[in-house]
Amino acid sequence: MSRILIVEDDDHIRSSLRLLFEADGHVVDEAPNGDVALEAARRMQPDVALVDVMLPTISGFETCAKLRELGDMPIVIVSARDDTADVITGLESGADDYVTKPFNPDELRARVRAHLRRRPQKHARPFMLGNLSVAPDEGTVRHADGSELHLTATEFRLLLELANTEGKVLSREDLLEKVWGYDYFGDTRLVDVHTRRLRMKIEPDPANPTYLLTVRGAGYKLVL
Amino acid sequence: MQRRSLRLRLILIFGLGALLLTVTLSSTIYVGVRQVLQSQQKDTDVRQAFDTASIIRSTLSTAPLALNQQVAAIEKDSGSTVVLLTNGQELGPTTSYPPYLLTSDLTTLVSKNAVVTQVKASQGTPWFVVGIPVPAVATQVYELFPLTQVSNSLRSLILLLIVASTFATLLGLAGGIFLSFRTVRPLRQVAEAAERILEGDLSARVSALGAGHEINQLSSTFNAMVQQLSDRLERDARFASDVTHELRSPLTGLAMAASMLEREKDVLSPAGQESLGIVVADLAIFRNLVEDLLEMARIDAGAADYTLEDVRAVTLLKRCITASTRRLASHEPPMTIADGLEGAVITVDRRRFERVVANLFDNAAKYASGVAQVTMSRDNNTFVIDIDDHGKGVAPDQREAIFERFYRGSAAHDRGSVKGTGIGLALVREHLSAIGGTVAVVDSPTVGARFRITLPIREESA
Repeated sequence: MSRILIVEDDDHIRSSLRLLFEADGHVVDEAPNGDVALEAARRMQPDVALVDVMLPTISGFETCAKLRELGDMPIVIVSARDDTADVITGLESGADDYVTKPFNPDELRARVRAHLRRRPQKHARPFMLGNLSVAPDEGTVRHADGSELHLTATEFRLLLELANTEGKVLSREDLLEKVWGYDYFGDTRLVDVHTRRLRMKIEPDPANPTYLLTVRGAGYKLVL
Repeated sequence: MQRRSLRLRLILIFGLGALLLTVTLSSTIYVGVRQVLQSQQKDTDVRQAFDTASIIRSTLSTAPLALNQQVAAIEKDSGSTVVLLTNGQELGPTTSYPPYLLTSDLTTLVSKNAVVTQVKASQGTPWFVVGIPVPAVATQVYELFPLTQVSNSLRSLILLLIVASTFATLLGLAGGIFLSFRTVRPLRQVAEAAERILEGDLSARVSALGAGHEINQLSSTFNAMVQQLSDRLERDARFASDVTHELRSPLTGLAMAASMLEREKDVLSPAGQESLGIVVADLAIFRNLVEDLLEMARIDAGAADYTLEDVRAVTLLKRCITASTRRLASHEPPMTIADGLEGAVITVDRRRFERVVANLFDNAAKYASGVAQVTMSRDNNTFVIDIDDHGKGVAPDQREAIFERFYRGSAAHDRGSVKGTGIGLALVREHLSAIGGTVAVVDSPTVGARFRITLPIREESA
């Protein structure tokens, strides 16, 4: 059983989403706008949040950014818009994934399940990334002075999947499947945006990465 | 040759105009000058003839023996030929002159005491003949002046006029070229801008040309028109996007509510269950229809942004076929893949390409009992996909029409439970042409239809 926060201004969609996830045995918190959502997130500590983009008062993108400040729970944007600009803005504002309306209910449940699932990591041994020490079993990344570098759940999983291949190249499709649980037709923009965000955190100079490298036409690889 | 270019026509018109004008002017000048020169020459010659006549008279009356000497002196001075006739007999020195210059009409008139002038041509040289009667000595004095000097002047004039005409004509041609450039260049600019707009570049404008009021009006009107067009397209795109949201929201609620109801199906009566089945099935059709229409609207509004990626063609196609057959709950058709295709890379929007394959498979399932065979091959740098179905084929005259929107062919009439939106194949064509590909129904070795997709191969990957 998990706790799911649904941020959606359309009553019908919000109710049907609640029914859908309650039927799966989850506890659902509903929020018709961003303010209520932030309040609920603070009190209830949800495991995953579904956020509509078109919201009254504060926008869905802003809601995402503020939810992200509260913790590293997976955030899935649920949007009727799927233009590149919207998708990128949503992901840049801190979302982990996005689903386009009208979605197949089973598809949405699969997405949520993928985000809730904590897969056992093959690369369970701690490893060093420059001055950073990564502890997969604890789920932490620390600087040399012991202070913690904060990664979201998705960023952490992306880092571990890349570390698992031990320097081999992973294609975008591979990463989509391993990190997000998508099949071949997932959106590779997810991978690109998250890679960029991960670089901002782990690279000394994100513009000239030395650990997380892009292999043109092939994908990404992590150099330990 | 029927439609010469505007430029050529302008140049020709200017050249011919200049030629016509100068020829007319030159002729007028020539005729006028000749007249003036000739009448001046005649006046001089007539005066000279009277002088000659008076000299002859005084010579004949005072010193007839000096006649020959006098005549020779006159001829030498004036370059003329002097002929004296007394009672039809030639007097004085015999000089050679074309005898027909002195016609009998002329001599008769002069012998009747009339002064006569006449222009006569002899062997291309015009002669001016002046006949003066000198009754005091019963003699007629004829002085014959060759008009060669005038001819020479006129010949120079003709030469000068030809040179001037040629120069003026060339000037006219140059003016024509210059003007045609000035006129045609703005037109060409407008044409180029229109072409760019046709290719989808709505930022194309015609710069201020400064080539006259009409052309400037054309360019500003053109620019205003393009601005309006792009505003309109932008509005349409925004509208498509807004409508997308408005349509998708209720559909989302409906789809989820229906899926919840399906889970609770068991508690419904048989009639309720059947109704629910219809709701769910029609909802799926409706959803597809809305998505297809929205996609079409986005394409029309130029708002369909394709996410292009380089992918391996064979892998992509296999995945698409798996996805399509899984959705249709059918078996995967046999696939034939030509040697050396595994490395071929194409540039596509993966999810839209998946729709392309899905639409073709749906189409085969609806109208032709499914896909029979998929063949992948290459033709130089083109990736070729042939999808054969189990149907009865498509009549040659319908092969283009089926890619039109809302096309309803003969197959649609006997289609019981077959439900289509009528734009699936139109979208297939739109998506493929957006990535440089084509789709067509081609001749098939079997009775079924063969849909052929072609896509440019970008590169080979190892």
